[in-house]
Amino acid sequence: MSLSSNQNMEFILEQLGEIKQIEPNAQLALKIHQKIQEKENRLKRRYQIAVCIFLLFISSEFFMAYKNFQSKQNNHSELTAIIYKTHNVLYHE
Amino acid sequence: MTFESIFSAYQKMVFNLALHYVQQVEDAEEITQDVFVKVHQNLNSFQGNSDMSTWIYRIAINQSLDFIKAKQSQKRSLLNRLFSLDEIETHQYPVNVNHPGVVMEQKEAYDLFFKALNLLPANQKTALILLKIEQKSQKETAEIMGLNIKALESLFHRAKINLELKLKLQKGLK
Repeated sequence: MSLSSNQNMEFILEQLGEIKQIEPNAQLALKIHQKIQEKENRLKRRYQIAVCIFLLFISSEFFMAYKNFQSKQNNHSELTAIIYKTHNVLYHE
Repeated sequence: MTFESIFSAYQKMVFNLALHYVQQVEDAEEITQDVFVKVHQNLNSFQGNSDMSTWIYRIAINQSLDFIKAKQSQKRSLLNRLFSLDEIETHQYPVNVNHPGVVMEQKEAYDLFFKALNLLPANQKTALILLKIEQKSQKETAEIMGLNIKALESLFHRAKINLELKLKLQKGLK
């Protein structure tokens, strides 16, 4: 491949068509299937993690709401007891 | 068309195209794997606006160029970390040309050609590979590259001039 002129450049480029086609490895299909499987599994795992995080978030919200509700109810019963007592005291006085 | 039939019809084409880009069998195999994983993922969204082979060619070209970019940046950052040299010029990939499709007697000449080809901008390299190595017609190449014929002709002209310069440079370095 000489490089001196346009003609030589054309010659070089024409030679490129002679590069032989190579057969890929016979194991290629298997490797691709493994990669596809791996990718699908990774995606599944990501969905599972996302669902777990979502469930954790929802359950913690429920827990907080329940706690809140319970403490409100406790406050309420304490107050009624106090009011009842005070009423009684006032009544007796 | 099922994935299996697409794979058996296009695996050789994708592998050889990747081989022209990276000139290493192992890397070309890796690119081929990634191309078919992408094809599998996007097969349902392929609307048939273009030919199946054009679509696969585009995926293969983009995957090959991304692979080269990733390798180059990997190399650059490793060198930067080791020597703290930002302007180092040794991040060319592939470093060793080992294309199994070239005949032994002309290996040296082809190595020189591929080394020069690897120094070209991505679109010039693609034009040369498709037109001259893959022997695609101008129409097919223009369609794959998303260009019109005129733009492709001018790109090819620039690629030729650039390649000649790089070949001279490579010969001078030798």
